[in-house]
Amino acid sequence: MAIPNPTASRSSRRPRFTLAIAGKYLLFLGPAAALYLPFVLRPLIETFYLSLHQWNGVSPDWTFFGLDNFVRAFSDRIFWTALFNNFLWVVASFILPMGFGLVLAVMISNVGRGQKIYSGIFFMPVVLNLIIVALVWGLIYNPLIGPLNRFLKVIGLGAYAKGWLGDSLTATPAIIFAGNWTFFGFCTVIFLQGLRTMNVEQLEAATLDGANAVRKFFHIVVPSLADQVRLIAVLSVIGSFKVFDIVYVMTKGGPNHASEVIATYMYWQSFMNGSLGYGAALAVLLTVFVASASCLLMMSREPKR
Amino acid sequence: MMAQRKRNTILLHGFLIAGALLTLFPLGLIGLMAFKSNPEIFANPVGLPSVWRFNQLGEAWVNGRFGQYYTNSLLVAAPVIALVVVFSSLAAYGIVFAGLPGTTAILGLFMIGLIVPLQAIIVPLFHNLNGFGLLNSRLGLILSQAAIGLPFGIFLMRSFFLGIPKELIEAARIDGAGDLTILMRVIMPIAAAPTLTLATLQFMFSWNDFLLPLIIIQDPALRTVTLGLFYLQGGTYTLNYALISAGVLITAVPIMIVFFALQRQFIAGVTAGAVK
Repeated sequence: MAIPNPTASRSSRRPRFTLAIAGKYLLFLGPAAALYLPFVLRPLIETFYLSLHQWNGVSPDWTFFGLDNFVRAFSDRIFWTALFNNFLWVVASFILPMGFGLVLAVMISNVGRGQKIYSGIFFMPVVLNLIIVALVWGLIYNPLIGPLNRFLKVIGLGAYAKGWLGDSLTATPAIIFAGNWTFFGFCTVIFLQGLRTMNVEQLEAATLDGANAVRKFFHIVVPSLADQVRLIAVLSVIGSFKVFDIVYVMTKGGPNHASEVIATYMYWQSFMNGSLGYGAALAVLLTVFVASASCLLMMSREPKR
Repeated sequence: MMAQRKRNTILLHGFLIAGALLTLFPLGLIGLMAFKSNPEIFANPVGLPSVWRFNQLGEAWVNGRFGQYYTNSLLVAAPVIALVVVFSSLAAYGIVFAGLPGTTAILGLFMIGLIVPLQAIIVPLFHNLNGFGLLNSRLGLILSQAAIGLPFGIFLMRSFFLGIPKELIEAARIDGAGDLTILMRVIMPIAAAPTLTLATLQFMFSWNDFLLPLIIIQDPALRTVTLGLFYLQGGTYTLNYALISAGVLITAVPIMIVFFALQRQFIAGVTAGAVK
């Protein structure tokens, strides 16, 4: 665990009676444990155990399956589609929000008045329910009434109008764009915080030396935001692997599994297809991806503490 | 120089206002649709409504059952916030100040919950809840959401507690205060900021949660706002965009009001919650 535990901060006084210690455990850690153990830790262990078995969710028997569920994943075409889509999410969620976020943050930090209002507006989609986001963007992409198709017709590109979510080629990019609408404002705020702590003297010195805005941006601003870039990079990776709500509401992974991601495919296998062992194996793989990314995040934060 | 600066500022405002309008466009679109009739939406999805049908909001509230969904969401979110704040503070105190052995390992155990995605526990959780008789109940949803919120709560409260000077605790001890008294009289009064951040974030998590209500709640009378909105879109009202838009509007507006009122806590919370 990357979080250092300074034992020094603990009380130096040690209770004498083991009964007193037991009582303290019960009082302070008991309530949290009473929720956490049955509702998080136990199911987590069971998922790992279940991933080695075959189970239809109804019968009392779990058939031991060894690693066959994992082997099945690697020869499953839909699994690879889902994984590929997750990687599309990673790449797009890295480039789009990072780019928009950085440019907007630099603009906001230079605008003088109204900084709070702008960052508030750009951040707002972050707090919105993903179901709302999915519904709103579902309307925009709607083949009959969607403004996107109308807009294409107006600018003479009507030939490209289509049901964006019903087409296996465009479904994933369309959902990704909608999903990142809720992420770029977050990047903007993170970058803004980074810019506030930036070395102003260095910037002024560069201005005196006659450096233009573009040079200053790439040689001073971007390097001093390395921490923020790293944080957002790892968050995009984690978020892109965990993504579920918006995909499930917009397409349910369709058409014909084309926009599936690991989380929606896992849900489908577990709750629709009755392959709970296989679903658990997919969940384990997802956990491994997310946990590795989380460890990267914590490691990348370590030097700052 | 000055004139150029002024021009640049105006240019920046221009870009930012354009960006803000683009960001708000999807919400504005659905906000207007909420007041149009369904045929009008099909004829004219983008423009202003010819007649503002305010009664559609009331219709979504009553016939679309959003009034009921609101109550359900609040009845779930309030106890979740209370459970997470109280249990996290207790646990963080136990880990930081109570002088108990083995707390590093216990903390590690809780921090696992920060890393695992919800999908990694959802199937066994569903079957366990069924076994406990908690499936299709508010209590099952409350306990699950609170349990999942705890790791972050403990993480947040603990990092705040670590910054409290030990002398403060020792002084209270010398005055004869017990652990619970110290937590409630000495620590919590100065922990208002992290508590508010935690509560705000937990509210957002509970209010926006989709996957847990989706698997736990089957009874339409128990649906939360999120779940109600989901079934509105996929259910009998499939093509009634007027009702969907009205539902989206009355769901989005309160959280936006809360957001602008508590903007600082939201941003602090989401930035801190970024680890999650």
